[in-house]
Amino acid sequence: MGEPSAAAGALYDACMEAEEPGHYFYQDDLLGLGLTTNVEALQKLCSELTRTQRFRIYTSEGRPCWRSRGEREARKLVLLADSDRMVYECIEAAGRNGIWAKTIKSKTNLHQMAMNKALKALENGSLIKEMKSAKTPMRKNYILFDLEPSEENTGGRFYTDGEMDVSLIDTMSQILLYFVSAKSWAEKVPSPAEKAAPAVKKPPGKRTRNDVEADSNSADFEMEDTGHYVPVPFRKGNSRPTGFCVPHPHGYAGYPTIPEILKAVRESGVFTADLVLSEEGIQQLLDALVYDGQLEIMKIPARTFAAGSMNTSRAGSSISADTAGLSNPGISKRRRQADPDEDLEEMAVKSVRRSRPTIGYRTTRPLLRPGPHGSAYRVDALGSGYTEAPCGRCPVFEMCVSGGLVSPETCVYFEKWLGLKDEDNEDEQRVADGLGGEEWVPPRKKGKEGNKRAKIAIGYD
Amino acid sequence: MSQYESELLILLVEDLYGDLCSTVFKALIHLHRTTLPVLAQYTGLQTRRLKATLCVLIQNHLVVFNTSRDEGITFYEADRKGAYDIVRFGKSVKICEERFGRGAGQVIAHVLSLGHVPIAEIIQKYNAEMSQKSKRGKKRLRTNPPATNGAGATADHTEITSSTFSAIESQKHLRAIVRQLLDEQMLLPERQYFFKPSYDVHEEAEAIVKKEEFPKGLKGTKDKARLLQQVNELKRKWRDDDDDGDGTGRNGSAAKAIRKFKTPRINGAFTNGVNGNHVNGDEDVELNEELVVRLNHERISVAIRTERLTNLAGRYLGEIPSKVYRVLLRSIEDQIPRCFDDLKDNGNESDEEDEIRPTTSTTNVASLLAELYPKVNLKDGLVHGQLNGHSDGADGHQDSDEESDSDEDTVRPAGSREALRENKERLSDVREHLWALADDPRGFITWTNSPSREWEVDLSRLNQVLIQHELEETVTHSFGNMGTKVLRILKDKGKLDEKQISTFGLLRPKDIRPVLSAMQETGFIDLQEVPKDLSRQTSKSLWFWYFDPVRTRQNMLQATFKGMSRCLQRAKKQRLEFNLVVDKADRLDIRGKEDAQLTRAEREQLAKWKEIEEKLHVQLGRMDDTIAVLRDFDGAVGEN
Repeated sequence: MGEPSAAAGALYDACMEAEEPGHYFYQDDLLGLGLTTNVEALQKLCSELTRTQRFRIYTSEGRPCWRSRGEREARKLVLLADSDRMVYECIEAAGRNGIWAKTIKSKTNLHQMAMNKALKALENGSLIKEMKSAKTPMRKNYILFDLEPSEENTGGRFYTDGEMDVSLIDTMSQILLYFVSAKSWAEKVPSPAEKAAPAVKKPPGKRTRNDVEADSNSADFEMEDTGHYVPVPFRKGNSRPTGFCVPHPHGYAGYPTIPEILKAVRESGVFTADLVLSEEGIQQLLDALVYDGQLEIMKIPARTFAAGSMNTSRAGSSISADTAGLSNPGISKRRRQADPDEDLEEMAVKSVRRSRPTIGYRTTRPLLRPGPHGSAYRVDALGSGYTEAPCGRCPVFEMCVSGGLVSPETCVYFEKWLGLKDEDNEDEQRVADGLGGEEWVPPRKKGKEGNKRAKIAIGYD
Repeated sequence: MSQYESELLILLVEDLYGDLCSTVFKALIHLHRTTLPVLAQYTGLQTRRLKATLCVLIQNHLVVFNTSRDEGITFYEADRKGAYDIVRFGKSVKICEERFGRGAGQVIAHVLSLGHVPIAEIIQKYNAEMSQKSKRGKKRLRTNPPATNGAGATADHTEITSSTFSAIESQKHLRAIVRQLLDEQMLLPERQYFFKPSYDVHEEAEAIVKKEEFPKGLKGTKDKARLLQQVNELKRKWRDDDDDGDGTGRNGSAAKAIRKFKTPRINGAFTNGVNGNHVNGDEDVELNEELVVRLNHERISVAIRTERLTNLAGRYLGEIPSKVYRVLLRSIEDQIPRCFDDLKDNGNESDEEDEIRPTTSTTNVASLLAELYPKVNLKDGLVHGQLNGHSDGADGHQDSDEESDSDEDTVRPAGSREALRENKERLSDVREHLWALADDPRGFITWTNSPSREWEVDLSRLNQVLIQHELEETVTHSFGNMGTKVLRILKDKGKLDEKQISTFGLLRPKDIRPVLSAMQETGFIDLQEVPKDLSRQTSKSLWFWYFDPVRTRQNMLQATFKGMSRCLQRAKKQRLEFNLVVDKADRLDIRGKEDAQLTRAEREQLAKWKEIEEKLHVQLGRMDDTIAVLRDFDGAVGEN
């Protein structure tokens, strides 16, 4: 029973030769293979193949059709119990989408135990595998062993095993930032004369947060330290930065566009995965970086000289113009999904769009705070006046009321912030509390003995 | 009006004007609109004393009042705006000092300490001080340097007045300063409008308009809209117009919101012509000495906005473009009488035209730049050469170059040629910086392509940029970059569920979840539940996060008010700890001679207290910057 007859085997081989397993054959297709012209004979052969699990019968628009299976699976399936086979067929029908265990149960009407057994048998036989779906991460899904989960289930191009691949995203983002940064800001090297006479400038290392707060009168309206005199942060190569970053002159067309970035990443050969290396993939990453505040969208003046070499120049960012801060709403108001149909449409209107300004990317000017010894470190934000005060960071701010349990008068955060509480005071307080005022040990002289005494005193209490 | 704002205002009044004033002020805050007997009963003060206190409060713009015409009853109301402005006293002085010299700062400080004052009294005060100084000799001046003045926003003003005008050389100088402050609209003639509660002003205006324009009564919504418009117009006239009239008198042309360096004309009621008021024949400054002046706080807001925008430009573009931007903003300030006009009819057809979009030109900026920042080397922030070649002509860039080229070709004396070339180069440097500002995605300025008004500043949009920036800074500081990222995504895309946020931001759902809920707790974002079916099961509902800018702004505003009052409360408590020494140092016989009269320990204590006070007050000022951004630049909190 396991093996088909010679004639049926020949038909099956012919089918396998013609198409991959999983292809649907109509009657005409099978007749077209030239092995038999007799419909009835074909019918027999097909039913035999179906019985031996080489074929599975389907109907499509009222016509019967057969779907071929691989030899390996067929051999195994023949040996399976009926219930197992039912489960298998369920999973097979779901294709690349996979199927949830509960759905299998309701479809096959099997008992939970029987189904579990069947699933286990199929899994052991390498006929099916469990699949993680990004859509429903908690569910147990199954898919045929040979199939790759569909994109819907993997979650898209940045997912691995149904989970977002953060390290992939991070690495890619860093690479993109690197490429963009090289073209984002011009480097201004101070002339020797300027270097010799830095009197006009304030050296960055000298001004600390405390200073800013201390000179009260001037602090309010002096320029905040925006790190102008701090070296260019992103640089091509590892050479030491020598100058400062200043904006490129107006009309600069070098802000990288998506096709350019894609080309650069491809050429670098760091990544080979096609999924990531598409314009949509790059777009998605860039959008995320814009939201991150690391990149900003720049309008590039229409470049007449490069129109030929730039085969695509689209303003495809899905970020709306408001966020990007662009005043011209026509540029990127359009929203675009990663949809092949739309891509076609894009191609059609591309020629029209070329005359519009293109969108390029620029790294946001890093916010640098001067560190010790003339160095600088990057900060995310300066914060507002509110977050600078202890209240802006207070975890119990909601409860704070004058005279309450949490109150400005007794606030420990204020104490710290105002520099009223130092180590000594704290010790003093603790010792005084511990001894209940009976035996006071000066905190400075307090050594081992002091501690011992403190313990004894507590013990007596 | 929120609890925290009230709390803050009461503390501010107490801090500067003392217990008695704050008691009455507090009562007024609690009672809202009230009459004298009620107030007396509530506070338990003698009527005589209460009246005196109210006088002080009114004088300092902390209380507004109105006597109704029919019944003759006077109602008092706390002036919240005026009380809040106490925080800005130090800042106002500082701004005027920085812009118009130290003398101007001192004049402003004097005006602030008195609320409003006739110009004659300023001059009189100056004269008195001069004669006193010449009597006492110059010793005092040296031992009490004015540097100690106005350390914090609400520093003791008695000190300010004690050496009021040390930086002013002569009476002529003083008059010139006052004239300048009037011209710049930093000082404003006092008007009746400012003393009346907004409700009464509105009622009055409405009554007049109804009587004059709609004698037959109102019909339909169209009439109502027209009424509102005319009422606002009338109110605007009362606020901006020179004569303190009651709706009659001159037509509204002078009330045009935009006045270019126009001198606020002198109160018609007082004068018999401006020219008749010269005191000395040789004075070349026209001043009506009887004019009562006050500080124009709205101009201070405008100045604060300039600084905030400058800081923003500095953060994104670096120091030199930001300085150019500052100059540009300064050059357009005279086109903006106030940050936003609450009396403008919103939602009407005139909206588009009325939008404030001041303009300026490169030449303007260049000349002012030379004046304000003579030392700045514009070339520091520029890279010349490589790319100028193919900047396209569409931007008008080349046009103007050609123009100046032809200028140069015309025959000129050889000596000026060099200067001309230098000037031209400087102009092009300035232009380059301006383009950097225009190219920035935040759109600090826009190129308009018309010759006289080359650059335009879209202030209403920049207001939003500033507000958003302030919110983002706060969120970043409290929730890290992830919080800001989520905020930006939500702002851009609207309502999203967790999964969508994670897709747009390329973030793992399990990473953003804690940030989202923490931000919801503090009110930066909100969550909406959308049930899929009637059973409303939690697991079956969709949960959408969203960011409501107006609500978030309101929340943050309240939190900042609260933070400010906490700072003040802490300062109050901290002062108690140093009570002994601070009170001693405050004694008249010791003040100014601290070194001789106090022991070393006391001096140390005093220094420590000063440090603490300063820190708290500086923080207060910085929180006020946040308030300015969130509340003053764009008045649409709660409306949108």
